[in-house]
Amino acid sequence: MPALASEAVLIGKEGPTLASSLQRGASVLGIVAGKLDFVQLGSVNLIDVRGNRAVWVCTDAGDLILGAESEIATSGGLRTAGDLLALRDGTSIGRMSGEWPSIEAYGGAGEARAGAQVSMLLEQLRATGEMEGASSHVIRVGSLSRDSVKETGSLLVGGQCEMEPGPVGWSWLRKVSGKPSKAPTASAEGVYRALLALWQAGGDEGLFRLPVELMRLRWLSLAVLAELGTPYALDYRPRYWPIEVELSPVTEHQHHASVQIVLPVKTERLVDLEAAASGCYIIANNLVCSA
Amino acid sequence: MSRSAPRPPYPVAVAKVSQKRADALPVERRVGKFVARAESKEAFASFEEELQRQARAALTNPDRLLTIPHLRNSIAARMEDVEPATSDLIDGYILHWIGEGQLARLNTISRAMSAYQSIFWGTLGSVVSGAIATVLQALVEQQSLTLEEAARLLPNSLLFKLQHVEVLFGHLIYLGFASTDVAPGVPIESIRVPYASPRF
Repeated sequence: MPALASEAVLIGKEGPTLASSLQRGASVLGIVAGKLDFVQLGSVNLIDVRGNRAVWVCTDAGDLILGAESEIATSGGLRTAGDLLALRDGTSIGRMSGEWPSIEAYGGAGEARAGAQVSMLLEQLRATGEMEGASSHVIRVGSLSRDSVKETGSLLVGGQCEMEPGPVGWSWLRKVSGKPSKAPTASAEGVYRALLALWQAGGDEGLFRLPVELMRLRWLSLAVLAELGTPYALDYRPRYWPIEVELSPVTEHQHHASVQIVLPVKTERLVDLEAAASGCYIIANNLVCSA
Repeated sequence: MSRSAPRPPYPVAVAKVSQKRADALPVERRVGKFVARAESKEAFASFEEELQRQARAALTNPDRLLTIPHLRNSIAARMEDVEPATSDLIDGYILHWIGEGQLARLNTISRAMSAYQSIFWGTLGSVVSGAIATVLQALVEQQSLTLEEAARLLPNSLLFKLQHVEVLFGHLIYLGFASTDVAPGVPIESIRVPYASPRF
């Protein structure tokens, strides 16, 4: 039964959902008898861990903050997060060196998952990118060119929109007031473009990046990519304690994620999830954990 | 009167000393981008202890937010008889303490609008995160905020330099929560929410 950060994203039958909003009896995507299936939760408990440390595991398929005793599925069997932390090379100071097993990952199946609701994914992305602007909500975007405002921008704001460019690569979208316009219909391709628009453009073509602090957007993005079945790879930079996370498209799905960083972190509370049946695994932030 | 034991010689970066001297030092560690050697494990431990003492002195009383190069120089200046082969190791320890939580950092932007890390003592973390929340809330309510307006909202412990408020402004800009109309290269004297009228 993993104890996860409350902002961890799991995939419910209706789509991505925060660990903190799960309730007993809910079903989340996992692995049952070696097959991808929904796992019913027998208990969901909020644990106050103030003063204690959790473990932040970063891989090229996703990252997760979990309790030190929580088990994660690796190529060498189940390992606790505390075990992974202990595999760091203690003689390496200010560096991230260690001999870690690969982590079992779920990044989708090459196509949108049957049952995935594209319009709901768009709505969740929109809500995560939304913030306060002058007298209206705006959506922060980082890699939307002026040419894409009409199509992808309109999809994000739900109608005709305008964009204000800002410093350090950010811009903001808002709906044009006083002009009734029909919201474009969301497609899987459109949602993918909207997701990438919320990230900042990286240095190279096809590379996107996000400040590490924007965790909710990053973790939701992972779930949306899995729902869309779009393969991707992540890179956390710099390794000793990342400042930003890079996202790049890849050609094939990865089922074994490489660990890049394992760090102790302070956290206020965790959500402890336990499956109703034994021998199940659940998928959180696209990484497989023992339930 | 008791005399304290002499401290072991500080570790050195292998690349910065002669091969003969490096060969004479049996204990090796990777420290940041350097391979370091010292006489013993204890030499590494006591060196780290001394560095941490000086880092604390540099960052507290009064509380300061410093860049990594500034903190490194401040630590080195406070220590006696530090040769370049030793001071080059300080960066690695700073990165290590950030990872371990003894030091905290705030990603922000400079006046040239380029990202950098502002480092502070770990126990100041709740003060800094509270200050960011306060500034953001005031920004949303007022739609724009000057350095002086923000400074009036913040605890004295953060106001040793008005530049600390600029660091907080830079953090909000870095994350895309605020915009600014100041030109690159000059102080970030004000921030605003997107679509608000510029204030000059």
